[in-house]
Amino acid sequence: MNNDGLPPLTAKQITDDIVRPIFTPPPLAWFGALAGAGSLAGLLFLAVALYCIEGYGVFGNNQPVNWGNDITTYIFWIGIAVAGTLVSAILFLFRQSWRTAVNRSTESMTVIAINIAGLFPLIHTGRPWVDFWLMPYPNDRLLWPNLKSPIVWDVFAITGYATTSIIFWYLGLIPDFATVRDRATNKWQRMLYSVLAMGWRGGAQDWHHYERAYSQFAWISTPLVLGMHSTIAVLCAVGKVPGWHATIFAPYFVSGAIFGGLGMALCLLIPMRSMLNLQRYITVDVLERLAKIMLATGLLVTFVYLMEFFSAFYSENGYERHQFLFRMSGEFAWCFWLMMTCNVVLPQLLWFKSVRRNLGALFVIALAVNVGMWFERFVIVSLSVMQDHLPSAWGVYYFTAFDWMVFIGSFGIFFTLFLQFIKVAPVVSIAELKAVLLRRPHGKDAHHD
Amino acid sequence: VVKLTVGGVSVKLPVHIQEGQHPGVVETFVGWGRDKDCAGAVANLGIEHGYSVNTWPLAKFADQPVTLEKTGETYVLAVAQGHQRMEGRDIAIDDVLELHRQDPGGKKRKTAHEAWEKGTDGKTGGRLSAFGTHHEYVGHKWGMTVDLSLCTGCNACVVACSAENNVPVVGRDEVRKGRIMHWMRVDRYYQSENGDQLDVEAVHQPVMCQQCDNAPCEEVCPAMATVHNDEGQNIMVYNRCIGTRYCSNNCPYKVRRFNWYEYSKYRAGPVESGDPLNRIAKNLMTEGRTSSQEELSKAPLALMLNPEITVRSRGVMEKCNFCVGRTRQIRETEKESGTRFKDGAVTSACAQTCPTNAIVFGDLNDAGSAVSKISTAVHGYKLLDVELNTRPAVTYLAKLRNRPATADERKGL
Repeated sequence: MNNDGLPPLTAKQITDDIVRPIFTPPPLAWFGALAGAGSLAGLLFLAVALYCIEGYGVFGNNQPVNWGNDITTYIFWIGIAVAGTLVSAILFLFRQSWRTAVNRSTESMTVIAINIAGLFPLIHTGRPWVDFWLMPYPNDRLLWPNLKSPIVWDVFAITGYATTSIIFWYLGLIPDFATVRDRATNKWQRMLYSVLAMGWRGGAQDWHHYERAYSQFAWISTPLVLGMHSTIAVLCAVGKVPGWHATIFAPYFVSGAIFGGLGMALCLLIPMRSMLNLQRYITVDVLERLAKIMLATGLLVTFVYLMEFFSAFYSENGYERHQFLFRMSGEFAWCFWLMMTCNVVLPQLLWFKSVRRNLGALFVIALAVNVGMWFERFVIVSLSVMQDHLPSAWGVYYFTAFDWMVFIGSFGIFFTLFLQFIKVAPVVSIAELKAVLLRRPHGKDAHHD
Repeated sequence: VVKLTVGGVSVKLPVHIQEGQHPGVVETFVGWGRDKDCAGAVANLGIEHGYSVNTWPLAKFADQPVTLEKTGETYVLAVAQGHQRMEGRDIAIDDVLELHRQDPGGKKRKTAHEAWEKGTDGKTGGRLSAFGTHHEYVGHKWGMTVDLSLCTGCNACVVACSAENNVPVVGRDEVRKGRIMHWMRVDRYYQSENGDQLDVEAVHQPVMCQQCDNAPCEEVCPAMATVHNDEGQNIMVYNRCIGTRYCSNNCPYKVRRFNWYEYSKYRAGPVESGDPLNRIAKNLMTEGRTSSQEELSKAPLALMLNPEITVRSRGVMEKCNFCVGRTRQIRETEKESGTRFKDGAVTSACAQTCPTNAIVFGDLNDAGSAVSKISTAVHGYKLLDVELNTRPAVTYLAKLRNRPATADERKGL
């Protein structure tokens, strides 16, 4: 860590560096970015308001393509959410202490992304004002959701996952909020962070409870996140549509989600570390490790792509075979080939150390992975239903202006919230980072209780 | 779009190339277009404004050479069926009568159907499902047969269905987007050897909801808005529908129709253009003002509705339900009189209207009913049932062609 010629890090130095953005006015770029992202977010709300007035027909969906941008972008954001939990919970359980540099920011990414994702199923329905019927609640009409429906499973999976990840994220923030509180000079800031820190005093008792709770949440989150995204996969796999009906979908979606989510994480971390001057904490080493995981999951995804084709061919099922030929050579083949380029070909560059450590190249590859993963979901969700069993009912799907508004707007919400997060909360876990960086000489892992 | 000239008079028309049509033949329909003289206020706006083209002027010239000229313009036709080939799938099955007599139904179809009839869980029509049982129908079990040999593709059933069930007319722009609302459709497939586009045979297949006993739509609806009733109908509970549209994705027959807009508002078709922003603005302006010219012009159209059938609001799914309004009515009558109805006392709108009686509707639990007898025909098959185990209540009878079999077809026996 200390190979940059700077004086060794002290506890005070770490705290200073990380809380600095909270107490200093943000750079002009931050305001610009926030204004831009905020206006984009407005597009989504505008589109939703107009569609509530007029009807779902303002979007491009039709028969047979009942799910287009809505569900594609929904799965895209859920995928983003998965990667954050990988870093914060799974790598924690594997005692990967380097994760401390990025776990807070990726977890925030998770929390924001899962909430955006949760928005899509709600706004994609024909009558969003009765969406609460998806929840099982006692009512005098004795109506209950259909527990056989994967949509209901999704509702449970997402609400469960969102709740857990928010608590997990907040739990980790408590000691850091206390640090900020103690440094706050402004009365309002002190009040705000006092409330957020929930009376944290930093005593041994506090730490004892904290560490146990953190570890338990990591144990809860890990199976939950894998199960959650498997449930999303089942949304497709249960369907009878050729191209959906495959048993490989759960691991396929999970690996794809981690792959795409790390792409998004790198896209956030690379600009953020220079914007907030955190190069000493979010080091190139850390980013390189993320790139390695991205490469590994990318290879898993590649394997599944090939496997899908193999099973379509091997099944001798004409419908499946047709579906995969359509993907490769139909009107929307460019989506498929774009996906293959971004998800299979470009990530291969990450085999080279020089590419992994070149942040510009890494950023571009990560961006490509995001594009590729969106198209992967589009290929699965929308292309499959374009040409299913009866050729007489085949159809196509194109974005309308409203689809674009919702699609771009979701990114707007994401960046608006993320920019606000980096302003009000410590973007790196101060407590954990100190434990890791300052105890390193003893060769002890910081996370043992 | 081409310029079509007959005897010095020319019109511009979009082209729709049909397989099997002689390359030297051009076909237009008269009576579709309106021009200034006869349409009054509507005026002749040309095809880009949707009032079609009057081709009557051309009809005055017999024995005149017809010329076609490319104009370089393009026009998007609102077609209900984009793909005309079966891609080698067993969908609208046909057979040559001669071969059918030797081996009724064709070997492959026969075994498939027999397996269905016998059932691996020991019940007729009941192959093993994930739950090991099938629905029991103690009263009626509505069923339908469609004889593809008899179907001429006239679409009368579609019209009847629309009239009976208050199916909205959505207009050209919506049809272009693939949002036609008809509860049933007549699919037309061209078949030929080696994909030949001239020497083709057509087969027409009316497709309505198959009322699957093992329905893919029912299991995925999160709100249980589409369920089976105790008479074998797959019914839509409109006011329970949230509009996730998963059912439609999962329907292998793609017979489900979604109310993308409040279609009941413009029953005679949308007056304004299909541009959503335009319509939103217009609707907001006319909100609550029923005295507007536009509303008044539509008022009498509400009287066109069938009062027995719900008019669906936007955001809900709808589909063929085997004329559930009619079958419920007969059930009430039965209850009152205490006697079972006679076969033929209730029928669906499509079956009632079919001029060739290709569609037969009735009670499958009544062994003597016409539908029960026809559905056991040896060349009967259930659409996609072999592939998906959906167990439809509709039985198709393969089209039997009365022509000599080709050498290849004989070999395939």
